[in-house]
Order: sequence, then structure tokens, then C-alpha cells
Amino acid sequence: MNIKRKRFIAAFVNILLLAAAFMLRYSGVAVFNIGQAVPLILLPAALSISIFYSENIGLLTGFLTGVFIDSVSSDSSCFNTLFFTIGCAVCSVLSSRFLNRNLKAALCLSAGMSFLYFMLKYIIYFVFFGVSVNYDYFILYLIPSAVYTAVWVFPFYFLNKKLSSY
Amino acid sequence: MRFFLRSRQFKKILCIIAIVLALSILAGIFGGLMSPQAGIVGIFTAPFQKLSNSVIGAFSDFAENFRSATELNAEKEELKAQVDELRGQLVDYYDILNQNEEYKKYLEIKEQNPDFKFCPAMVTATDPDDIFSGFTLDAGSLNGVSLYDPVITEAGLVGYITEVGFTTSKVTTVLSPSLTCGAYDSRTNDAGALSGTTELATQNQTKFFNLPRTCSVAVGDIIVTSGSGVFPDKLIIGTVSNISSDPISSSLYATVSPAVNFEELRNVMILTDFAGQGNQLISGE
Repeated sequence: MNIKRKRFIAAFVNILLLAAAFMLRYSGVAVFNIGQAVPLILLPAALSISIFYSENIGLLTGFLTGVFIDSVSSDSSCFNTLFFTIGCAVCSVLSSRFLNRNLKAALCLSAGMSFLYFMLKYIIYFVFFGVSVNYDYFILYLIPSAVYTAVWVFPFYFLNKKLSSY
Repeated sequence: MRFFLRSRQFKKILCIIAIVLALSILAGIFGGLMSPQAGIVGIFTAPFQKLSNSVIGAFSDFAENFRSATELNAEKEELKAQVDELRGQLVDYYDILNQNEEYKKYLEIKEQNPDFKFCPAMVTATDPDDIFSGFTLDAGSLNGVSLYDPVITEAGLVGYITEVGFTTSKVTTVLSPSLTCGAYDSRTNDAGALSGTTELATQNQTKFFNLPRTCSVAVGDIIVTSGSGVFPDKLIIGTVSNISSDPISSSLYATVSPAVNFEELRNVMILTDFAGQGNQLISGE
């Protein structure tokens, strides 16, 4: 199999997975929910692409994922675009230059990015926009969702490891 | 040869043939009778004939089937295509039927408010992170939708448009604290303001507040919009489910259960125009 074909297959599989994750999350069908925890599967999916491919691909993946989420998300207009673009680019740089591309590093990055994402949303939503602070929402929804989102890095990590090793 | 013709054996054979021929002729003369030789032979051959006939019949059926299989397949494909087409038409029919039923409900609202201009829209995405049940619609500025256009269903008020794209728009619901509107009790005419809170939104309820202590609002009353400029008046918001005293001010507030079930929203109507739209916003500026 030549390199171009391998890259095409990897890109095709990843785009398909991102599209499926996007549609599942915003279709209103709670497929992967566990109680109050709602995973943002797009985050580990985009992150694992950033880890195994170049910085430019990481940046582009983050940007596109963020734009798509912002197109349907109820919160501030470009939060997701900014967060995913910067987050994926930083993770790509970190994994290629400072960390190993192993599962431990991927899990650390995923956990960090998930917690940061949900914390920032909470701060922007509830603090900056003047909505009264709701600790129940924080404890019962945001923390479990962040943990559950971080865990989703496992399948995407192994998939991208396989796809990039061709 | 001569010996054979003169032999006893030949004479016996000749006799047997003559007898058989005579019997055959007699059977032919009297009619309806089978010649004896045919009858005797038939006793032995009938089972085999029957078997062979069956086998040949089966083979000929198979050959016939095989020959007409192509024709049958073609016919089957044609029928399948027809069935698919009819099935598609049936789906369209049910779609139209459902759409018709939906529009019938809005017709009543339209008859009561002839100034209303509707734009039908469908929910394309719901944000699971939004505790205020915000969602995205498949209609945007190209469909005549603009900022703060009210969104309703046949049950009542859903919210208003807070972001408009070319072909999509985002809706903020009555559960959200960022939506505040004037409302009143349709039974007692007690007026107040309506807005969501985080605590109530998690219970799928909203808050009707600034009610004077002397008001007569009761559980089960229907709360409607007062026509603030953003919303036309008398749009049903929901029913009062609880009344409490405000801990900060001396006023009362009521908890309202929205008439619309946000979890089951599929089709909505956007009010793109109505009499008095934006009047207070302009005068307020």
C-alpha cells in the first residue's frame, strides 16, 4: 500500500468518526450517557489525531471540530473554535516534542483538556454571564462529564496508533 | 433357411403370432378392449412408465422453470421497484399527513391572530451541555428569520431567536435566565415578569416573579405573555405549579411549568412578523 493511500484511509476513517461523534452528540439521542455524565467524544477524537499527526493537522482538526461545535452549541459564539484550535495545537506540540506518544501521555492530555474545557465552560457560563452559580450542576454534571470524556481517549488512541503506524 | 421354415419351432412361433393377431383383431372388432399382449406388457411396464413420466415431468418442469426464470426475475424486479416506489409514496403521504395535522393546529392561532407571519422550522441539533434546553433550527436569515423572533409551537411559547445564520438559527428558551419577558395570569390578570433560573431549569421550570403580595395567582393558573414588543400578547407560557415568597424582596413568585415539552420538540414555528413587533424595544432605545 503506498503512503498516499494509507494517508487517505487514515483521514477518511478519522473524518467519518468525527462526523459520527458530532451527529450522535447533537441529535438529541443520549446513546453514551451514563446518568448525568454526557461525554464530549469529539474532544478525545480530535486530541488523538493531534497526538499522532503533525502540528498543522492537529491545528486544522481542532479548528474544524470547534467550528462545527460552535455551529450548534448554545454558549458563546467562538469559545469552542478557540479552545479546540489552541488545545489541539498545544497537545500536538507537547506530544511530538516534550512527551512520548504513549497511552499515559494521551490519557494525561485528554484528562487535562477535558477538565479545562468543562471548567472554562462553567466559568464563562455561570460566572461571566451572570447566571447564578449552581454547585449541583458542577458536581453532578460537569465533573462526571469531564471524567467520562477523558476516558474516551482509549479507543481513539489505539485506532490512531494503528492508522498512523501503517 | 429351409430347415428353419420347416422346423417345429418356427411353426410354434407362427401359431403364437396368429393367435395374438386373432385376439388383437377380435379386441379391435368388439372395441374398448385392450389387446392381450398390450395388457400383459402393460402390467410390467406401467410402473416404469409412471416413474419415467414423473421423472420426465419433473425435468420438463425444471426446464420450463429455468427457461422462464429470466422472465420471472425481470418481472420480480419490476414489481419490487413498484413496491419501493409505493412505499416511498406512503412515507411521503404520512409525512404530509403529519405536517397537515401540525399546520391545522397553527391555523387556529393564525385565525385568532391574522397579523402573525409564520416560518416553519425543524430542530436540527440540541446541545446536551445547555441546561436551559437551547437548540438549533434549520431556518435562518434566508427564510426571513431575524434576531429575537419568537418561537412557538401549538402548545405555547418556546423562546426566541438569539443567533441567526443564513440557514440556521439558535433558540434561547423560556427556561433561560437570559430571556425575560412580561407575563400575566390569564385568570386573575395579575402581571409580573418571567425569567428562568439555573435551579428551576434543571427541574424544567421557569419563574414568574415580581408579583404583589395581594395577587390572587393560584396553582394551575395559565400564564401568558403580556406583549412586550419581543413577544405578541396572550401566548401561553405554562401553568403555575407552585407559589412562594421571595426571600429578598417582599413580593411573591410562582414556579411555572412550560406548556412545551422541550425534550420532544421536533417542529416549531418562528413568528417572523406580528403587529407591534419590536415597538417597545425601539421606544426603549
